[in-house]
Amino acid sequence: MQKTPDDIIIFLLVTTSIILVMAGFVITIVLLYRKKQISYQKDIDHIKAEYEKAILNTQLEIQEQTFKNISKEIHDNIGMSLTLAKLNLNTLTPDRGEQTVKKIDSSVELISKAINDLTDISKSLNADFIKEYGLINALEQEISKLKSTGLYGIHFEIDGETTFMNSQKELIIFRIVQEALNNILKHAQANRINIRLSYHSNGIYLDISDNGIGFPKDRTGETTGKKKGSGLINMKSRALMLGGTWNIETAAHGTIIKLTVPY
Amino acid sequence: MNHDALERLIKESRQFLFTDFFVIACQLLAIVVIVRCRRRDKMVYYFLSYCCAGFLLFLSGRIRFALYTGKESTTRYLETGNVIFALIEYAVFYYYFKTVLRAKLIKAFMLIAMIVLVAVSSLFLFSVFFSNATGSRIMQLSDLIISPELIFLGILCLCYYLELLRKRPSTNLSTSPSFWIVTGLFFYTLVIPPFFLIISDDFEIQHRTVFDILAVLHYISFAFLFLAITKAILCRKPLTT
Repeated sequence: MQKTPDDIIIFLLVTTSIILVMAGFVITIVLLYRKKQISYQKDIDHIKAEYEKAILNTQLEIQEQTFKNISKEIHDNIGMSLTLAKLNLNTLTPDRGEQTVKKIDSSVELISKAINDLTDISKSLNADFIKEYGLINALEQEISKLKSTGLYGIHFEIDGETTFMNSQKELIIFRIVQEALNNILKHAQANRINIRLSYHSNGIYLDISDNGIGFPKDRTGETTGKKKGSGLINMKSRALMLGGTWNIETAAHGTIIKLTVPY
Repeated sequence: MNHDALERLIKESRQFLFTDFFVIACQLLAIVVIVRCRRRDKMVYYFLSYCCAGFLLFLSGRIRFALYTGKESTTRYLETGNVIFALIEYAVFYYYFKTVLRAKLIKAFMLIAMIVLVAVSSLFLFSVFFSNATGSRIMQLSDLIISPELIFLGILCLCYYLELLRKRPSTNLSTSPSFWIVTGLFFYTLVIPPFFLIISDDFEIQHRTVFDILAVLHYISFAFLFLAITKAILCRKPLTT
């Protein structure tokens, strides 16, 4: 007895259905696994981000503690020694003529300048200053320090209604500005710096721009994927730690850093 | 091989849409890839043995069939080869699943199945060589050994999938050798073997067209298993990953 064509079709339908059910089963397994994998990856990323945040926080704490110790050392020991040296020179009775007097006066002047500079450095290293006087005062002091060199025309602008943030956040923003200014001094060959601090309802926007030579795009790491400078990485990771954004644009006529930090 | 035998072989292959040659090609491909990968891994050697056994038994079976078709001795030879291959297959996948699966209960079942399979296969071989069992009786007996063996392996594949969904999803499935091997085995063991359990002894004679379709599907799924093994080797990771 031979099977009729209908029976063959039924048989083919049955086997095709079995194969389709099995293929569907495997595809379902793959999709479920993929879904689980995505969720697992999200968890891993979250844990990694938290871990990196904790590491960065610890690094910042250690850095601040180190800065504080250096600041204290400058103020208590070096500052004291220089003050004593200045005092000694002031109380010296010159007996070798006008030239000696001139030299002593010049030395007193140099020591005074060194004491002032060290006081400034001490203040900018010490986070207590920010806690006490706030971000704007700290920035103004940093800017006046730069202005006093006579090498830069600095324009500092504040927009919006000033809103106080917690001192830890302000300290991190201040360190980002310090890093940005430090980069301008070291690399930009600029003579104009603009700093604009805008207070918005959702956070602060900070733009730091200069009219320097800019730098090759690969140094930002954004376009070529090459290693970024540690200063740029630090700025970015600090901004991300605050839950904000950090962006850098560079061209032959200057560089602009844009930072946003939520309250 | 004489002209008639060759003609018979081609005629038979045409009925199977040349899928038997496709199986041989896939087996050869798997062997070449395994040998070329030169990996000193025990599991790779097991799979190499499996592929070689599959290749030799399948090829010799086809040649024997072409040379001595319709003879009682050919049926005995083919079915003995099938049962021996089933034993090798179960042994290889027993060691494989023993490493891949974690559930102890399943491993215990696997061991029991191994013992049962060895026992019934020995009885089968004894009946082939020392009894007057007819060709159809031998075919029936070999189906009773091979189909449950394959279905049991298929169940192990389902266990693997369940464990896959339970464990930490740290590996990418497209580069996971175990996923490829188990998927290949899953289709090979569960698409056609259940049919062999339910069809009657004279099914091949009475319903030739349906039998040919069964054989074609079985050969395709068998070839797919060897392709999956090849893909697993090409993932360049331990086969149990």
